[in-house]
Amino acid sequence: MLWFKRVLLKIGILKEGHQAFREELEEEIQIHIDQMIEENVAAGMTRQKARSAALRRFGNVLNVKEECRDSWSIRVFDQLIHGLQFAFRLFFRHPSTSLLSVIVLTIGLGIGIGMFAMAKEILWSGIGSSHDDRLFVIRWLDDSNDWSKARPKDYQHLKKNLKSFDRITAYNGHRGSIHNPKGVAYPETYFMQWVSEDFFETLGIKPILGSYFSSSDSQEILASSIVISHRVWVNHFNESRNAIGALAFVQGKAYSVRGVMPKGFSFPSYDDVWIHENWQTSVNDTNASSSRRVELCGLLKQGISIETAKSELEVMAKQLAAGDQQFYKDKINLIPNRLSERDEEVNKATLLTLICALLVLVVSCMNASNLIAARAFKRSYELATRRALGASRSSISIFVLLDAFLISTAGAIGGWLLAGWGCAFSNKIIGNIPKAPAHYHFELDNGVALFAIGATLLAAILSGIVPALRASKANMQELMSDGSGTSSSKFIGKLAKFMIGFQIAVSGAMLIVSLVTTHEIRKTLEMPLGVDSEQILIASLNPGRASGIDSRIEILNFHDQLKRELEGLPNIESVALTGSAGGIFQSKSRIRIEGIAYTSEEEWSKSYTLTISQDAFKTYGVDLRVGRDFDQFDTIDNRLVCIVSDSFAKEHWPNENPIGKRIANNPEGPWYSVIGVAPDILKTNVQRDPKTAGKLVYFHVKQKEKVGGSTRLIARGKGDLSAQVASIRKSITQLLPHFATSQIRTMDEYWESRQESTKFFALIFSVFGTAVLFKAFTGLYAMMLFASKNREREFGIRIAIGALPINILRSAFSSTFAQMMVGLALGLGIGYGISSVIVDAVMDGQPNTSPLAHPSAYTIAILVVLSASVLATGIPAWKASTANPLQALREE
Amino acid sequence: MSINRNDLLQGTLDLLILRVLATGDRHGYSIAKRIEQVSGEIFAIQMGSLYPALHRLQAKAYITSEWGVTETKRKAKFYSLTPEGKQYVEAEESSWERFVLGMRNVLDNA
Repeated sequence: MLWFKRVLLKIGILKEGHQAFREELEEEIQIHIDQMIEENVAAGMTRQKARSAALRRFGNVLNVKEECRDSWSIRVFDQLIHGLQFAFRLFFRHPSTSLLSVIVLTIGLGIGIGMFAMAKEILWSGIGSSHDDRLFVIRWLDDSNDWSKARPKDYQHLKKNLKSFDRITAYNGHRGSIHNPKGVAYPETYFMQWVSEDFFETLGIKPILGSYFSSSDSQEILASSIVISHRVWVNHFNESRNAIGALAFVQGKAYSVRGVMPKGFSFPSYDDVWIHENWQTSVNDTNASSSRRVELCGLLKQGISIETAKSELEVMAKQLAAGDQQFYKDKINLIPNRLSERDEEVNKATLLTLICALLVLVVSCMNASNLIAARAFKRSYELATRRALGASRSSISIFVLLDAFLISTAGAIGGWLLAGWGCAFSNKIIGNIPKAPAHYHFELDNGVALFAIGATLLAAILSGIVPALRASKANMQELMSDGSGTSSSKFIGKLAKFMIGFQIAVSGAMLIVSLVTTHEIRKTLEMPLGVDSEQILIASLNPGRASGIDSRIEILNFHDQLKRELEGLPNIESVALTGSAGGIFQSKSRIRIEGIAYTSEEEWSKSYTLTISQDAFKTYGVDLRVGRDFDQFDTIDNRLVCIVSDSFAKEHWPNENPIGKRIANNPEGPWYSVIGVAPDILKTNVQRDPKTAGKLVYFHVKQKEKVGGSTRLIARGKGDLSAQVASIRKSITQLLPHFATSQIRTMDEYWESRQESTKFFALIFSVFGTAVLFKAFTGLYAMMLFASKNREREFGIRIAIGALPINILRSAFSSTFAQMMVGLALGLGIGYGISSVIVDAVMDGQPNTSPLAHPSAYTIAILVVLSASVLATGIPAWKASTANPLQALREE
Repeated sequence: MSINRNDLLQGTLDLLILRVLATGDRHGYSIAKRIEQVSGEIFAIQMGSLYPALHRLQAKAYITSEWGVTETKRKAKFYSLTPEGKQYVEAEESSWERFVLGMRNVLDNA
């Protein structure tokens, strides 16, 4: 703590003030000199001689005083004060460049700080456990780096033998239904996890109500209790404290509620119900099916490194693999739980967006650097005069760096406010995104504050270092004789050229990223479903274990019964069944057309397929273009039929009647006869491949071998559909008491909710894009200002000795042309790469971010960058070529 | 013949001051006198270097100062060693002794 004591001592001296320090020092020296005089007098000298000898012996009093002051760094403090005075003077004497620099850095720092706050929450926050950093998901990897679940017997083996972990817990999940008979009158489906007894102890998260399973509980208690999420507590137990101990049916089986987890808690994924499972009973099941295999999460022992744990796990994995070569590979991975639960693609997109934001910050610094350099250039004579009067190079550099620091601090305050607003806005939006963990809360906490301080200092250094270097070389002689040929000027010239190229590359890349990404996302959001989505209700119809129906016939009969029941309800006009998400999500498939000789399956037509029931088009509110809908006679025992979309029919039978044509979707598969042509509907972002988009083949659910799965019910109604939801649930429960459905809502609401995360990213990139566009212009304006100040004198001399304006322009362009072109090409390439990854991550499917798919985005980016670069280079040259040479040669 | 400041090895003045203060609190004039006296007039301390050294040691928290009255009833600023200064002087003394031993060996045996 010696350093701390030293800092306190220095602060104490500074606090006392210069005057007090000087007076005390003078008094001490005077006393010393007086003592020397007395000694000399005592030795026999006259008082006059004694005084002269003492002063001679003491030396230069002024120097002594200066050296004493230096011991306390008082001189540095003085310099700092002078530097700050200089910086403030510069700040207020050039309000336009000051304001522009502050705005540029406000945007750069605001985007950087805001994105860091978001990335910190998305990438680095845990599940809220006190030992988040020690929780790891354990996964076996195969040769293609896919992971597989473990068998219960291996879980027991690991649990018993692993030394690196305090605990290892197992879980396995799928969708299931929960029903509180005293709460809402219907069961609802949620993702659930069947977990080992130490699941919550391992995670270290406590419930807000009741308790959780514990290793010390008896099997009887464990077997009859469940823990529910905050969401289930709200939806099914009305947030009642009496929920603890209440009866609830999970998959038709009775349990009592043991605990309610905190709001936002969800593990390992988006789960809402946790049921105890004694995996011990499955240890003899050596060929456990995937539904009986488990995922593993371990709590690393304190002080044990990940490498040690991995080595131990790999040894065990090899032992297990030796016993079952087919089941296991010997690669094993430990993933921090905070990353395993999230979508890898979202992680990647977030990380890339953060990198882009940091790049914007770097470019902001460069823009500010140009502005600072331009105005420091205007003060060249003042700086050179200071230098001539004895100011050191470092003190001149500090003056300019303090100017940059002042601007960065002002920018940081603006950036902080901007980021705070961005976080608050994002928090509002994130609440509406169904799959975003509810505990996501973007805020400017201490970690972000540290980042902001670091970023501000970095911004000050990055934006101030080149102008400071340049200013420190301010030399009166060079200024008088124009030192453009000196080595320092050459170095700065090269640096400026590099900065021009770098700024063009980054501006181009960021423009491509923001324009292409925003365009892709907007395109997706604006795609109409092509059906009366506001008037269609959609509900999941997964029979599940609890429903009591299992066979194909039972399920189809249930569908028929349900259709009849619902169509009997007032205000329900038509009911049908579709594939996932009311038909919005379709399967990609290859189709062969009868009469075409294919040499391989690769040549088959690429298309999307969707399984629907009779009356699906009626429910969608669209009429078939030609032909007929499926009917009750189209069963699996009769002729197999299909309906195709307009695009599909036009591509394969352009000038023919498609009715009666036959298609198949597998090599041995049966032929399906086309009975109708539907308009192109449900063309959403799900159909990402432009070659395949719109080409859709509809199959009849009753002609499928397997039914159930992701079947959805769609019901077309009139008036206020929310009033129909309760009636639909009631009809379902009357038919099958334990049949659970998910939330029932309109197709529009469903599609809107699915689009929320896309909208969020669209918003981020729109803001990002606007900022980048603004910055591209301000940045290049800064370059222009810098370039104009740099070359005015040179052009003036050329004009004075007879150069033509055209020569000046040619010279100006030829000197930066290479940087412009290389920067632009690099920018476009980098922009294409980054936007591909981000678009792929934000939306499903294969992205196409090439210039061919986005000609306008690439054209805008090229035009903005080129026009700004041309202006930046051309304007000073033009200005100099038309100005009076004498005026151009005159400084300030 | 006395050795002035320029001939003193870099850093030795600090050690001399600290060593003198290890025997008790002293003011600047007294420190200079004591060094000259103990060194047998070999070291002549230049006052121009004494005060910067005292301030340097104070800034490093090895010594502290306080105004007081001398035995001749004159006002003076007295310097005293801090605990950190004591530790520092002990460490420096032993390293200085090793240095002197090394020098002696070279001068005697080379």
